[in-house]
Amino acid sequence: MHRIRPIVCAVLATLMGTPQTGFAASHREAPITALDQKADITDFFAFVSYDDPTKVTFILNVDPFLEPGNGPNYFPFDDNVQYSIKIDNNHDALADIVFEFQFTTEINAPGVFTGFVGAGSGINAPANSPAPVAPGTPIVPPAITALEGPGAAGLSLRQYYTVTMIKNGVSTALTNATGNPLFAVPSNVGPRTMPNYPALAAQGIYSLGSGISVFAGTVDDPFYIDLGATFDSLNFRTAAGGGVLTAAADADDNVNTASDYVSGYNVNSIAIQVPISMITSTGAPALSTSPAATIGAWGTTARPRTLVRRAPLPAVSSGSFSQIQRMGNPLINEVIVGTGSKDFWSMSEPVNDSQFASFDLDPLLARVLNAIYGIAIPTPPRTDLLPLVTYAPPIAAPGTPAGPVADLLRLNTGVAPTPRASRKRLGLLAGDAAGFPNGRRVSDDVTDIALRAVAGILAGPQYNYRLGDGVNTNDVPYQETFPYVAWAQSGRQRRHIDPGEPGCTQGAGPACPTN
Amino acid sequence: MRFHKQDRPVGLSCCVFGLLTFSAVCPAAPKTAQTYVGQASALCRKGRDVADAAPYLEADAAIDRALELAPGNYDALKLRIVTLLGRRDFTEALKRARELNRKTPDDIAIWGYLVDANMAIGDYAEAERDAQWILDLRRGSTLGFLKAAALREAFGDIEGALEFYAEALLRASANDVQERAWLMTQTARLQLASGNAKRAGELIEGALKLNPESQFAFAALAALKASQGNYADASAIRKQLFEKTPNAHNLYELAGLLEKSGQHAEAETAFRDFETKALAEEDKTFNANRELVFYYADRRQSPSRALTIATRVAELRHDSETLDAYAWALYRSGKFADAQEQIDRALAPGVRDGGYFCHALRIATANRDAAGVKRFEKELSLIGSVCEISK
Repeated sequence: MHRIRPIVCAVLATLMGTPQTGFAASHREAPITALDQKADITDFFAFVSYDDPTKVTFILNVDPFLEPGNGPNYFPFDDNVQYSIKIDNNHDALADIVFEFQFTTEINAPGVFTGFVGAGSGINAPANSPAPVAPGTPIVPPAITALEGPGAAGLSLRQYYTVTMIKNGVSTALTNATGNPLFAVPSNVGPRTMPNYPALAAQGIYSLGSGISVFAGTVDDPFYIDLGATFDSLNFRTAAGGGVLTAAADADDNVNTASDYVSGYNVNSIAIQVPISMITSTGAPALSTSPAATIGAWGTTARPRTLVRRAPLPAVSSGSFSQIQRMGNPLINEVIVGTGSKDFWSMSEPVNDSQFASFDLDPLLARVLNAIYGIAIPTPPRTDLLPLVTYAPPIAAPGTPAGPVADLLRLNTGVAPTPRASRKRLGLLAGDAAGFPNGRRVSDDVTDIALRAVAGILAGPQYNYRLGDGVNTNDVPYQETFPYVAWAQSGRQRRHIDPGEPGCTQGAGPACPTN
Repeated sequence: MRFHKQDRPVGLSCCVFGLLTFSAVCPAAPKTAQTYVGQASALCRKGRDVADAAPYLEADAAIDRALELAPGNYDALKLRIVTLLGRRDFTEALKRARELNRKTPDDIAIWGYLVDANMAIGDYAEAERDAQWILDLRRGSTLGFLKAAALREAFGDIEGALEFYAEALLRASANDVQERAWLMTQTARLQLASGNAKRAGELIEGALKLNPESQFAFAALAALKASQGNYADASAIRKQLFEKTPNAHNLYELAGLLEKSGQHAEAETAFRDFETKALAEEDKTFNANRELVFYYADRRQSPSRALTIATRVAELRHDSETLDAYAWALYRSGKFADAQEQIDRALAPGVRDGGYFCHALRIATANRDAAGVKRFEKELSLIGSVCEISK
């Protein structure tokens, strides 16, 4: 395996900068997605699967800040949104392989007032049931224990979806190996309705044949951040170092010294695991030292368009969908691109990203950090941030064509996954070769990485200030197997860990500081 | 109808009331940039309704004041583009719209200015891309439907344009009577072009109920009357319009209707006055050069003068309207092959207009293009139009 050089020579790149003073992965970062939550991409992940290094997992999360108890209809995917995961395997920043997901909603019990209902083995009308409902008539169906068949009677609102792979222009429907529909996993309503939610959610993992697995449904939002402090003009908690972590706090990836504001929230997730041989340009796994090992990936959401020209008049604009949002690296649109250009960025193709160079080369966030903390930052133009948006070492092997400047999440598929015990939240900055920005795992602390990159850590060790928000880990443990995110939090039992509350780290440990 | 300070409903600011009524009902000296921006905005709306440069020039003065008080005021800079468009300085408008668009690409209003400027210049493909971007960026926005409707009309899809104007009307605020009247008049204009005079009449009546001052609606009413052969009423309406907005275009329209109504002496006087007026503004961006081309080509039998003017305009713009006039000046000058080339260019976007088809028919006839003659006779027949222009 090719060893990625640590921190200073690393890439990271364009990640940050921006007219904003804070960020939250990509939750509601642009006007167009603030208005269109269902099409809002919150995070995009791509990594060599921890438990199967022959495969890559892509995760596209959408629809931010889903309050788990927010019934009765909870959080369906939007039937009118086309969700896509796109992969460039020949370094031209154009999609060579696309996985498209489209959902269909069915209402199985239109007279029932809630999307999901169930209890025990079902509840019948009691002896004193007024006419015309006779005693013994089923009223509440059995608890929901399955996505289809017995145990699924309480799933009034159910979604199924299709997966289409477009490879080199050829479209192929990827179907359930059993021939049954692919069902999206509903939100975790609570223990009475869904008494064994993990078992229910696991049924939403499907094999599509050829080594491909897929999952779609509501899950715990894997992102973590002290959002309130961040958006309060980087007013980080004093107890968390006020934005500059102590060496001890920085070194402990498992302890939070500030509240995870995304704790207790869910998000909708689409995950697909694909053999590496299916996505490289050579059709085979490649050593990390080979240019063929590195791919670029991004996610998009799109909606059907209203066209200037009606059929059959020929349209100048092609395609029946228009892109609402895209995401490769985290936080680019959030903290690099100016508010007046965010929608334009969201709707543009990555291959045209050089048009946003002005935002990258003198990021406002760096100047905010300079102003607030008085820290020295590199002098613009910030070419130290550019490597993240091209194919370059240390992610890509030497000799890999750099390609155009484009916001893609680049992943060297030849780099083996880091075992759990050795995994570092700071990824590549901490010498963890399989972490962001070499792809992105669900556990990577992109907030702290981004702050440091913007402050200049890629330009040299003199710019390493241990910047961070004090949230180093998620509120619940991730899974080590596909789909790797934690299952959705319970609507009845969920907990948001707020400032002042005990159990700052996954419900344990001291209280989260308020200041 | 004149609005007065006391007419202003309780709760409606002076600025908003002025905007809705095109009037300066609150004469207190404005103090802030935003007040001047509000004034300019109201004047721009008036300019759209009356199709004259004067309100835009007034708006420019207000914008100047706004920018003095707040240099770089974004709304003022945007309105400057509107006044440039209104004064038909399309090149400068396009330049400034592009500049603002580069800074704030997420502002759909600026994309709308780009659509307007590109359409006026004749860059329809670019205009279509801009309009499509609005539709993509802000689904269901009134602006998107408006700009796309204008393009659909330019592409000859009248039914599609009507569809989008209807969508825009559905979204227009019930309180914004000026906008609703304007949209209804646009719809009426297209209904009339489609031969639906009855529906056009209903829409114009509705528009005038909403906005009894609308010169745009009165102009549509004059066109309706003329289409029904009632040239006396049409010319009377046009005369009132000219009295309110004494520009060369209104005078040319009036002169034509006087002629058709049999008032030949008055028509001749009006045409002479038009010539004087139009020549005086020939070199300005807001001019009546198109009318001047037809005036020299058809009325004065001075095709060389027509061609000189048409050639100059065509050097700046290549929209269908400009190319049609250019083609006609070439035809009248006996340059039939060149005329054919230009009328083909004019019709290329797909525009379906009786006037253009009539010119095309005459040019095809001159070129002994039997297929062309057949085609344009059919086109005229399809839109229920008759070519009244003499050979």
